[in-house]
Amino acid sequence: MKITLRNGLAIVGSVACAAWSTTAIAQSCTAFNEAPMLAANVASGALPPVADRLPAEPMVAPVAEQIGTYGGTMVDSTGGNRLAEFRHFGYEPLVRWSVDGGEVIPNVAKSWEVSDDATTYTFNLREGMKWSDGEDFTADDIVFWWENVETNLDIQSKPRGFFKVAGEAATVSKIDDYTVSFSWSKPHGLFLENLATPYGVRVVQFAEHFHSQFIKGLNPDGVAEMMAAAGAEDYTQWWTANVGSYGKQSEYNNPDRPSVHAWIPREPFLGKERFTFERNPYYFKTDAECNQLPYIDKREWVVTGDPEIQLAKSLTGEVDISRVNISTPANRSVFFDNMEQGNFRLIKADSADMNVANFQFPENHPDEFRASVYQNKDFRIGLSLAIDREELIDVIFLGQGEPYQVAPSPRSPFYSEALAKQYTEFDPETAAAHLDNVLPEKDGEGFRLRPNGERFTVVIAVNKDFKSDWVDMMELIKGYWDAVGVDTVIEVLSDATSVSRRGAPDNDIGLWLSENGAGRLPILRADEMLGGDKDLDWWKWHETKGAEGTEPPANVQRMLVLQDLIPTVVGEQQDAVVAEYIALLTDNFPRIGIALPSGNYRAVNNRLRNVPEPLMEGWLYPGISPANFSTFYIDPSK
Amino acid sequence: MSARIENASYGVLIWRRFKRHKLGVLGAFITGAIYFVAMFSEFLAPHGQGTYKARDVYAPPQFVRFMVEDQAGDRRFQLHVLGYKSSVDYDSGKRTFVPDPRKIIPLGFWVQGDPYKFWGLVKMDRHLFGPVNSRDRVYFFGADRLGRDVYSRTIHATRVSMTIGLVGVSLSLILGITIGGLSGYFGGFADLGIQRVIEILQSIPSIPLWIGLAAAIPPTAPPLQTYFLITVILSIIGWTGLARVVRGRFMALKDEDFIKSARLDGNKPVRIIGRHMVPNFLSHIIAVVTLAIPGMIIAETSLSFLGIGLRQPVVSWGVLLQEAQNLKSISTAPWLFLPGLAVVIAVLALNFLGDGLRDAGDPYES
Amino acid sequence: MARFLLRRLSLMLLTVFAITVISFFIIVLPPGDFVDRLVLEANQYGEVFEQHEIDDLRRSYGLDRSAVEQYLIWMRNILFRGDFGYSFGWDVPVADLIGQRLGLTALLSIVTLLFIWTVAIPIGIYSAVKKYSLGDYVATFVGFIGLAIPNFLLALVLLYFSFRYMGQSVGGLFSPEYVNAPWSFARVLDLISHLWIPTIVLGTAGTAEVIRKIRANLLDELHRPYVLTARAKGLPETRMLLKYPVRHSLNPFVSDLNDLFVKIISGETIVAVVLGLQTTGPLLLQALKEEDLYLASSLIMFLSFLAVLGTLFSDLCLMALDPRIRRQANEGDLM
Repeated sequence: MKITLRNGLAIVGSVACAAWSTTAIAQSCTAFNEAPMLAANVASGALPPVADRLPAEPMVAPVAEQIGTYGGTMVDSTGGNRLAEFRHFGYEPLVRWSVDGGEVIPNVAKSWEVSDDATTYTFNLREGMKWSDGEDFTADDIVFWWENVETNLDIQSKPRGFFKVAGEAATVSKIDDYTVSFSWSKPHGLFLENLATPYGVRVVQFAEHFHSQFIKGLNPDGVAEMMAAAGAEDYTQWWTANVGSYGKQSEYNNPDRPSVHAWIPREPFLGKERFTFERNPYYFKTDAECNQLPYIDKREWVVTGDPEIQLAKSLTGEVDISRVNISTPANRSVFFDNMEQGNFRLIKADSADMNVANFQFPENHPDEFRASVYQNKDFRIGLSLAIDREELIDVIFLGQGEPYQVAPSPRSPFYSEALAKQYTEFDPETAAAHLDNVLPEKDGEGFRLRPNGERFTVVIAVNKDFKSDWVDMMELIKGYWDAVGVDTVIEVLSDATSVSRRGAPDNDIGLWLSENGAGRLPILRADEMLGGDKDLDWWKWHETKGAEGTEPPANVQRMLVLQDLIPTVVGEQQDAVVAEYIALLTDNFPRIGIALPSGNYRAVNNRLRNVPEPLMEGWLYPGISPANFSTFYIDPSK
Repeated sequence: MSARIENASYGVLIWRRFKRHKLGVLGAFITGAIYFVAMFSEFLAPHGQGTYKARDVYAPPQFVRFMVEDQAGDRRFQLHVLGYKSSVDYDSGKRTFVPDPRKIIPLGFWVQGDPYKFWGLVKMDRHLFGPVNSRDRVYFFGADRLGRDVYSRTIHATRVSMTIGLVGVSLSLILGITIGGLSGYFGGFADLGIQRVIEILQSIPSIPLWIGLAAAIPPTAPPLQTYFLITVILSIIGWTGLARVVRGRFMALKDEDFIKSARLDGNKPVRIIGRHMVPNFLSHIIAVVTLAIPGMIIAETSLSFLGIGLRQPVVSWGVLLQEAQNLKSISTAPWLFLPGLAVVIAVLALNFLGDGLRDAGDPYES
Repeated sequence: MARFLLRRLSLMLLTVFAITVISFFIIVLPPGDFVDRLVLEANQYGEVFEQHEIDDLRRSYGLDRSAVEQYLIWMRNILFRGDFGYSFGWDVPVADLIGQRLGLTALLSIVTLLFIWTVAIPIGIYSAVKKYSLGDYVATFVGFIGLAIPNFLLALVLLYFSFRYMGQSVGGLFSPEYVNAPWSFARVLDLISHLWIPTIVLGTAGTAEVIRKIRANLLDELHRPYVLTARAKGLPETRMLLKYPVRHSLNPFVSDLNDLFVKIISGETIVAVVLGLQTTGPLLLQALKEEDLYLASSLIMFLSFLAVLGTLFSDLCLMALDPRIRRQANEGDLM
């Protein structure tokens, strides 16, 4: 990892803190405290005492404000059948992101070793850690998952991409009961980071003692019986509906299914409009004062699809944390007006995104003239300089944010001021000059023309169901681009019509998200800064090593090579590759960004404490679940 | 009295009966006024429908004032509004607008403003009433989230909303009379088949039908084409009701003596239908049609609410209401709902007009 | 009579069958399926599906087969196993979902219907009796104002009013503490306190039609000779009104009852979406948007079936009330 003075200190500091708190717990906890809710069961013998339920070395979770008190119910809203909702049920992967997303820290695994050549990752699990049904969590469970779920052709045709290096799937071996290793013949430069993303959570979600009964290969008769009872004919369909892998809500629906999360369901909840999870008595974390987490006894979810209803539920104080899709700058005034009546406060939320939006140029557009224009850097520079970002930020984002290009965020170790700030000034004259180099001819109304005399028109498609403020943003940008002679047409799509347009080869300039800018996230999806899928021909050439597609220019070739290289190297070598990649990006300027996302917030009920500020939104950093929900507590006095 | 009835013509009789229905007369006037606005919308609106000023996002409505006071303290008559001093407070999420007594925006008649093409033909830039200085902007109904003038947009939307009703209803009428007439006149298997189709169409819930049909509209279609296709969608549901009514009337009239004699006379079916049957229930049809228009207007707003109706750059009341349909508008910018008032007035006016027409429809009824 | 019933029932089955085909193909025809929508939505928050995951998903939902094949499987499951299929979006069988929501939908519709009658019939009668008076105009105006205000607008305004100034909970017909609670007097009160918004919004939209009909029918009746006779004989006005003309004018009303009911059921979708109610309307809307094939098709089929059944029912009612129509049916003239 790149050691600058600033983040060097940060790393040393956080490592020291982690070490301090971990050693503190190992030395000073002679007895543990548990929630009163469990006391009766422990007294009657239904549950073992807390010291036996926790692993020998529990994970110590840091608290945002202070040590909390047990009890209470936290109410949340879920969109019901949205795929992303599962992350709100809990975030307990093998290794996880720190709260600020800057580094990967232990979770289920208490520590790990990486071989010098980065071909083998060995994880040390926690001795004595148990599933929610009291059975031990061991390396067997991870090996079981790998052999019977992830690589099981009956269930899915391939393992997820990051489990493979150069096409070779990992070798997962049990070293002993509490040690497991992943190895390949070539180095893997991003394995830990990928494990911390939502895609890595699956590793610790399948208990061998419970799930073996559902594996066709291990229990053919039993499975056949169960399938017949459900009237299912296809094993994959039945597995998806009843057992569920990554992201399916059915994964959490069976209360008998063992889990390592802080709260677990006590009855099936799918299809209900309101349901409750209760605390997991075997949860493996404590706070720094030997109290077993979570503090909160129950979590309740209410299903609401309509955004205005979600908003209203936050305003009335029914829901404790507002949803991200309604916590927009536009709605801030409504929240503010209802703060007293709803008894909530507004907490700042950062975004892990690189940019509020970015423009992608189809440099391999079938129309050759158009492709040549988009490949010309002057065109992109001109368009970028023509945008009055300050005005846009003022109108659309309530004045929050700064002009920014598609680049890692300021606090990321990969931040580059040049890449982030170039061409963000509002300078229509210079813009026009650059554009004159590409499309010098203009018609009577000042619009630039193709060589054949027709207007050169760009068509930007915006999905209004996705982000309605993008439609407004495009209205403003259309004005800016029209002013420098580029005829711009906005095409408003809906969810329904977006589907039919995806991947169409003649799609024009695209407006899309620009994510993964914080912390180490930029290198997890390095292709986002360059943009691969729009330039199909070039990418195809690179993938097939020249057999198909068109050969890209040398600098683009080099960037594609570097993109592939990043996940295969570690340490200083990785840093050097990333630095070269960013330098080339700065030079080539393939995408236009608009502004650094800012001004996000969440409305949090005043009774809910230990909520870190700022929170962080994101996907590969699955905001806001890494905020240590298990350390939240309810203070009834507020 | 009876002599007057017997000697007066059909049209005069209807007019006399209509006049008695005061609400109907009121409805007729208002409807006429609305269609007038629809015809001359570009001229009547102070601004174009899409022009905006980014600094005026969510500006509250401005009231017309009459007297200006200059430095000497003299007061004189000058129609004007006061400009705003605005600032953004991020914490409360609000933009505050304070009327600034020093920013006087004079208003006048026959002023120069945003250019437009009158009915798509003649280039003009004169507006009936608006800011004297063409760079100024005035917000009688306030501004929306992009800084566009709600009053101007409402006026422009009048044209689309009122004509969608007309076009849609005409289509329904043609379909309804043709199909209903065929069904009622010929009876037998044709009637059976058509009745089944009507029953199927009426049994399917309207929303899935709308969404299904709307999915067939290509997203790249030019706004005018989208507009036309939407009216087709609306009329596809509407014609069934009309067809049933027509069919019922046809079946009733079929057995009347004068129709039988017309047939015996050797008249062709088309002539019988057109010359003898249709005039008999024409007044009823007119009433039903007039009453169907407001239904179309409301249906158009519903389509926009569902997200499958018209969209920018076409502006209709439905589009405006859909943009206003959120809690933020209610709590911080309620003027965005003023197009709803236009809908209410239009729908009420048309309903009263239709009721009046229907009441006046049969002058020979005692 | 039996022949009439038999003929109608067989026609009804034909209609319902045609409707199942139409409803299935309305959903299948637009390009893209549920998995495409899922992937699109996932992309919107940053998730990237690998191609094999998309193929796996499609296979697990049975969407990799042809449309005709899917339809036949669906029909076969309904007819032979009573299984309406699986909702991709909710991960539960369709029948469970619909069953849960039917109760509230029926309740809302019935309450709305009662509201409409209670408000519209008196206004209609008054309007007819005092024709062209000021009272007539005011009453008509009041009755029509609900029709003129778009439903979604009124619903949102009332919703805001109810939680901002009345402190009510939003997003359902029950407050949070009563959602899963057993029935009690308090729960009924809670239900009523939430029902008022959708009832008023839907009800006011429906009153105009009913007022018009009652007024028109009553006006027709009032001109009949028997009314003149009754008046001449000295029968007090109100008694005379209620005893004869009003009852007769309600006759054609019965035949349109079915229409009104269907209108309420389809109108409740928009109101329920705005208010966040757990009725069948929003369920269908969401299923359509997501191309949740079996849920949407089953719901459409179900609602259409109800509508067709309603037509038959109202025809039967008419026959029971009016001997002329009974005769027509027996002679095969009534279709």
